[in-house]
Amino acid sequence: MTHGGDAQAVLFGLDPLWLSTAIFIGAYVVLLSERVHRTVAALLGAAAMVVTGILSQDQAIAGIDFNTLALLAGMMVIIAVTRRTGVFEYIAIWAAKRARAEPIGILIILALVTAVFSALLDNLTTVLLVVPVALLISDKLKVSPYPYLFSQILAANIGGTATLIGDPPNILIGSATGLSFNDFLLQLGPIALLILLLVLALFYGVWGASLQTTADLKARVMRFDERGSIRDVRLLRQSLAVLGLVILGFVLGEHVGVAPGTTAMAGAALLLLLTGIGQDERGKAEQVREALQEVEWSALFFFIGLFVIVQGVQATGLLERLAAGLMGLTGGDPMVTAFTTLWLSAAVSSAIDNIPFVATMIPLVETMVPGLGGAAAAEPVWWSLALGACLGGNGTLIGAAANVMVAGLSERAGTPISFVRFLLIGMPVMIASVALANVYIYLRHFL
Amino acid sequence: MLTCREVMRPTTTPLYVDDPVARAIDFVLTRHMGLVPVVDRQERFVGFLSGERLMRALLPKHLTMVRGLDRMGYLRESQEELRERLDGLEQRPIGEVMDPRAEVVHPDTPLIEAQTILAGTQFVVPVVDPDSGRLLGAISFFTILALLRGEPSWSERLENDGQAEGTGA
Repeated sequence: MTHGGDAQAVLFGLDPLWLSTAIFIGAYVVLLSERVHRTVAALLGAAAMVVTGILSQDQAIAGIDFNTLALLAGMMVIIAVTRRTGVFEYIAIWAAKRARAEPIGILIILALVTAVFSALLDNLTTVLLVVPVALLISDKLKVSPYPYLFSQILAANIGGTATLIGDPPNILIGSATGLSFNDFLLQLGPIALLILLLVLALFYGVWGASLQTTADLKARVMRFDERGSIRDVRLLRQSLAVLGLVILGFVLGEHVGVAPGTTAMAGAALLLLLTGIGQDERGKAEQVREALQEVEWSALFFFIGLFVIVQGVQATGLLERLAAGLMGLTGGDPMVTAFTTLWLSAAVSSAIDNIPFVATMIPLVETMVPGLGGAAAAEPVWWSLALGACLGGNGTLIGAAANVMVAGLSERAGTPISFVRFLLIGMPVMIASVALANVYIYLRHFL
Repeated sequence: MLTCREVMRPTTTPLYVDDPVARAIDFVLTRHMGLVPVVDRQERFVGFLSGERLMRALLPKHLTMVRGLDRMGYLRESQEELRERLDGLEQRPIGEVMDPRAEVVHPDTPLIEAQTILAGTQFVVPVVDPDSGRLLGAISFFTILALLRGEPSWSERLENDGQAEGTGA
């Protein structure tokens, strides 16, 4: 292991390219096998890159994208504090009552709520909070919970597609390329909205007639009092104010050179400061401790490991070779490259975790940028990568973390989702939405 | 050395893990008991059914499956809705509702171990046969304090008054 400088002294004089490829493939095989926790697998792969001398310690640390880590950690703290207020349940119930407790109306409005929350927060927290309410309502109305579960999964992934902070692949792409919150919103927001509306229209067509209930059962839902879900009005005001500031910071940040990670971390610190006001030292310490406990440290360490593994294969030239191969396949044509990237990332993301895939694709696409004609010409490839990775998650029940979360919740509720049953809905929706995204990319960038 | 055998109160239970919850509710309502041991058909101790577990099972299951979502101040339920949920609960086997995580001791275990468990999270410590796992007795703070004071335990007094039978410590 070396501390600084270039990679050198590779173990037993092995070819660094082959060794890094072996470590990369080994780590990904272990990741996919799910026999070892994904964080452990990623950290072991990262450690192997350093211990075998492929990367120096400084190179490994330089490969870690601290903007992504700060954005994830900052938002985790803000969401953890905000969810304690009960505001998510408030909005879900308020929205359901606006639909006059009509089953199909509730399905559509809860899907919209989930899509918006997923775009502005993160889709895992969103489904964790909205799906139990959706299941409760379907139980009260005595209608099948499956349309609600399926619509929640699809809406979470489509909503997350729309913004830089909605889904981890977008966070990774935004951080690596410098594409801003506004860029993502303006480029991906319209197509995500269109796809969501079409999916909801599909749900209306498929389930609108069969989701029927009685006036008595609707009255049960209409009796819900959303105000009862608010647990701490002061905390609610503080959380919403900080959340608003953070989103404003994302929008304005690019103009003043403040990266999203800094904005999210500043927001988290401000919220912790506000929640501590009026408390004694012990109370303040407790507030901070509780908020930090909610941070998914395993996810952050997973990203750290992944960044170092990818840095390893980048340093030895593997990604350069892969990029050259891909360029040969597409002839260096930006349009063909964009469409290939879109469908490839959708296909891969429907079957495996899209985070390691996108983490690998980013330096690969970066390598291809000069050959594609520069940063501006390569931009559609980035949007294709984001759209494919996010929308591809709808293809199967294991395509995205939100899907797995909903599957777990529904199983605990006694209404398990079968893989095939979801596939029959998710795969056609995924293929149709990626096809639509393909047309959108063509019309927007190549016509 | 004081062992659990010397302190425990011999205990039996009429609740089996595959009985419907309705039977358990009949039993606790009749005996005014908040905590009842549950055994399998080989009389091996498998867990406790408590008032808390019954009340939790009577809450909407969708809101108890995730930690942190169990504040339900927005629900406005009628007696009819609660009754419907109770009907569903009564059909379920006791095994789905009981707490299977209770710590147990053996008759020859030093009493201090049972005391440590009682000082932690459990109100009652089951005493089970080390070989067969059969429920032999139970120890609570009543049995320990009653022993030290040389007095009959609370449940023994009830039993003497003809008000208690079967279970409890």
